[in-house]
Amino acid sequence: MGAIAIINESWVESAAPNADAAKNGRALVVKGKFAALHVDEGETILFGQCAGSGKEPYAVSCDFARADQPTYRCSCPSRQFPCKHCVGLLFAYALKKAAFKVAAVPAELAAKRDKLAERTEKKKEEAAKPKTVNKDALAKKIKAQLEGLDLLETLTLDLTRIGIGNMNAKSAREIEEKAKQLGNAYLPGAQAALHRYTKLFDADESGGAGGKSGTGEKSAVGEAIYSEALDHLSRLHALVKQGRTYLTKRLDDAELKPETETSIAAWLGHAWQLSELKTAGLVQNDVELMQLAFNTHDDVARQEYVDTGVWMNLQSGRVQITQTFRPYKAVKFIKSDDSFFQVAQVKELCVYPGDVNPRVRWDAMAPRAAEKGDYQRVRELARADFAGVVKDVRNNLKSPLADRQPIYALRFARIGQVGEQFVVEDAKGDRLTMTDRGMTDEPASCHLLHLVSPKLLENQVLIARFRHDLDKRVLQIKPLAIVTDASVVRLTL
Amino acid sequence: MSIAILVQVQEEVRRLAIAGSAVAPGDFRLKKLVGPLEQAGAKAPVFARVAQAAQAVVESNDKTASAALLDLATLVHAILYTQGETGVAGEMSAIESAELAVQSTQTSARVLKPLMDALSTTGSGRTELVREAIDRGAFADLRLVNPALHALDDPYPEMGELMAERVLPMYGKAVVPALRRGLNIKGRGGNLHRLRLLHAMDAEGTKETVKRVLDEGSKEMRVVAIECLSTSGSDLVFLLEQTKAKAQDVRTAALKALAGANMATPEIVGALTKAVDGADLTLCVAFLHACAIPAVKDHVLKRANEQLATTLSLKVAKEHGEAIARLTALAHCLRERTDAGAEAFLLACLEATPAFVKIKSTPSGIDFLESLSRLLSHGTAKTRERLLQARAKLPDEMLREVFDAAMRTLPSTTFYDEYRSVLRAGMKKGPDRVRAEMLCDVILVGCDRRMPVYATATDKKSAVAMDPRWVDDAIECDRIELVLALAQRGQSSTYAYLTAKLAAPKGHDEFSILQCMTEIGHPGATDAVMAMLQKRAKSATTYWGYWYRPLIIALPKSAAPRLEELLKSLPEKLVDDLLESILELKNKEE
Repeated sequence: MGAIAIINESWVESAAPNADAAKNGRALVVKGKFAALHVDEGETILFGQCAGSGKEPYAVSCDFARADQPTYRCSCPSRQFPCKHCVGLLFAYALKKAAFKVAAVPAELAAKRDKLAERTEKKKEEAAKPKTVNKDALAKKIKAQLEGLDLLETLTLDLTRIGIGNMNAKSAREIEEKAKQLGNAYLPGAQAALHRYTKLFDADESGGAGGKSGTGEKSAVGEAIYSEALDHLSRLHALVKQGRTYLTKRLDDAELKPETETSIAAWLGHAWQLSELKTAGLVQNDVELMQLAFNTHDDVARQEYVDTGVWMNLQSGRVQITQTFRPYKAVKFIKSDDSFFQVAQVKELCVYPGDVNPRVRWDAMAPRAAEKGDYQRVRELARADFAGVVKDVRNNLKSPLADRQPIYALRFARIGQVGEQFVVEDAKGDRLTMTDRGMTDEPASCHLLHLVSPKLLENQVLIARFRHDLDKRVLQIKPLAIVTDASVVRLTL
Repeated sequence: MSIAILVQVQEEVRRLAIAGSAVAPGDFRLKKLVGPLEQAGAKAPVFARVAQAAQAVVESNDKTASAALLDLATLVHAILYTQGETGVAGEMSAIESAELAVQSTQTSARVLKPLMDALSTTGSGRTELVREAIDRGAFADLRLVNPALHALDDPYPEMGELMAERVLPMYGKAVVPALRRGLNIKGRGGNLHRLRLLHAMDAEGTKETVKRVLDEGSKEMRVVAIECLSTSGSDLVFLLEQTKAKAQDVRTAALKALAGANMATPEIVGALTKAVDGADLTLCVAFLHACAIPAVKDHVLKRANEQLATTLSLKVAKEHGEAIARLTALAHCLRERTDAGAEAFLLACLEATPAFVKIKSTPSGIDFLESLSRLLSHGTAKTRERLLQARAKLPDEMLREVFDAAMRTLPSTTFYDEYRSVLRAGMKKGPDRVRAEMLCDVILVGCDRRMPVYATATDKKSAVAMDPRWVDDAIECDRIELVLALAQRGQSSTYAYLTAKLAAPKGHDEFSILQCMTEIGHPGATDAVMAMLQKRAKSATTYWGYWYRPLIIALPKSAAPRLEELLKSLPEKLVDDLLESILELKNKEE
């Protein structure tokens, strides 16, 4: 049986870039827009024609030569990928296999397939070769970035001089206008970091972060963001310092390689290419990952929707994350990520530089059903000593540019209550308190502990996000999921 | 490590950052902390670093203050991040679990996220999305419990109703604590749903809340609380109290609850008879007819008879209006009653028709007669019979009910024979035409040939069988609405009439004619519908697939291939609108 055996309706739904594409693709089948539906003898490619708004039908094909990374081709002008015609062709196969006649792959398509195979081969060879870099251009870029950091420093110090209490929506917009230059200076990450600060004041149109009204009273909302705002300013200050050190060092380094030990490159806005990660040796082979949680949130600072998957690397035991960024302007054309309930088998897993929960990415992945052993493995890999985890979290948080809300898998003895407070306790009796406060990327989850089966509250694994509350000076967790020996009970998305 | 001093430094740094670093140089409150920090620094070097950084802020100037303040903030935060308290002391108890029957959390984010957004934001299109999700069973996921509870307060009332009626009951008692926590007894909107749900899920546990609502709640909440009370024991005391409430809605709810009591106590009878005798009679009209308490029923009848006598005996014209209003209210309290007393009262009123016709007050005697005709028409067989017998002597305002009673009680042939003259007389202008219009209206309602998109199965069942000869009269009188309502399969005269009318339709007749043609299997129906679609495709920019659906699915199944062929020549948007209907036609069983 060929690679196309995996195609069924739910597979096609998940392959579609969004719900609309799936609906439109399905409608094309119902409307009978497809003609000349074919499959090759080896069942590795589907091809056909789909009537569109133009005179000539579109030539559509779904090529499974690389089973874990299908290639979608369509002669339509859509920028959506796969387009509705490709999705429709997949639906046509899922719904009416009999309509597909076995045929030889047309010469034009065969040539494209050959080219793809060549390209893949060439890519492999290219990847093996040391990458040549236009050092002059890169040096010029780094100098521009250093100038951008000077601007960021000026803006940060100006903001500190103005004072958080004197910020309002208008001044925030003025700063954002100036911060556009950071984007021109190849520092989109720094620009987003600055926006994270200014966006704190976006909702406040009444004047001042403290919501200064005519009577000078300060709103509770303003009070709540002061500590966070100060933390943001400290981060920007640290970003300027560390960024400058890093860029200066890079400028002096003949090889001009991006930093792989820390996430500073990403902080400045470096978009890592998979090839770069591979060249830097940030690759793990034959890895299996299980998704433990998922969230989709609107990152106003970056002007993007971010789909984040939280995964347990079943080999290393690290909790890693996948991220799909969908800029507002291109949201229609980028496939949204979805929660994943199977185990992902990844041949080449690229791991971004980072601390506790590094971002991971892959070119191709094969799903397999999750088995009992996988859940058992998560249990084995989860941290059973809360004291040790807390120590690690605190050490990590010391760094101003560290991930402020790291995620850990915790093996716990029980979850209960002390007064109104939800508490999780390990086998040694060490406790962590739970809250939803300040962790808004995911929906609230603590209340669900009242609704789940009591069996889930004893001797299981808790996937938890940590957060240090600067005002209350407490380190607390938010429950994201509970992993039992047979399932992942998701408490968020 | 003693962090008290660090916390003090953090607070000062925060204060300066809020005010702006311009005020940081020489800040005396920060300066005061440098000494203790240096002392602590002798034991722990990190404090010495903080002391240095604090000193740098104090000694800074306009140019260096911002950087110095941020250096200090970064350092203090870095240390405090390592000092965050964890855990909590005290006896740990098991979480009070209201284990939900639904334990699944396998709904994908692509389904879940839009639903959560729809339940927590505002904007159009949300209700449809949520309704569809309910139908698909997507709410069987415990992560949707909280959003569903939150949506009880949705500004769009239909959303709250959906949650209260279709979603939250599915979760059962597990949501009771959350409902209780969210209840505001002085509120409205979602709180009304909360109280109703609490009562439905945990009547015993909600008793105290209900009593508190009756004492302190808002008017709307008190009305709901009254619905939750029984009519015995301590509840009865509360109910009786509420019959004296200032708010009319609350009094109405209390009286309604009392009227529904199974057991008649003197207090209940007393409260209801008092209401009947007073101004609250109008509040009781909606429900008192269903009251099963004999003493109350007798009292209403007695008062009705007294009021009839009083009204007819009144000599002062000014007093007529009030008397007629009261008589009408009392008569309505007797509707659907079949006992001899009530029947005799209605017939006595009918006998007095000439006297009522003369009363010209507001409301007038004719107004009362109009109501009376409805009560007689929907009363006993005897009242209907007497109404029909009296037809010739009745004013025009009563004729609609006469026609209706005749249509529903007489054999269809008799109805036709006796009343066709009314229709035919309407061909001339004048009062006869008005009567004919009235008869047409009655027949149309009887046939219940409404727009199929609005009609329900119950509507169809309530349709009255009609003598087929009516169609020919309707064609002769050129009453197209009646023809459309009465048309049957196989009537060649009807087929010809419809074909002719379709050639030159007036107003919205085209759609109605097509609808009728498809329903009666007119041989030209498929061609006509296809022609209409082709015409619409050329002219309209917006298509209403919603309206085309009943036409298409009523066509013979054999029309499907022709329609599919036609799709190729229609605009994409129109095709999208028609697609589901054609699929439905293809799949229908004949």
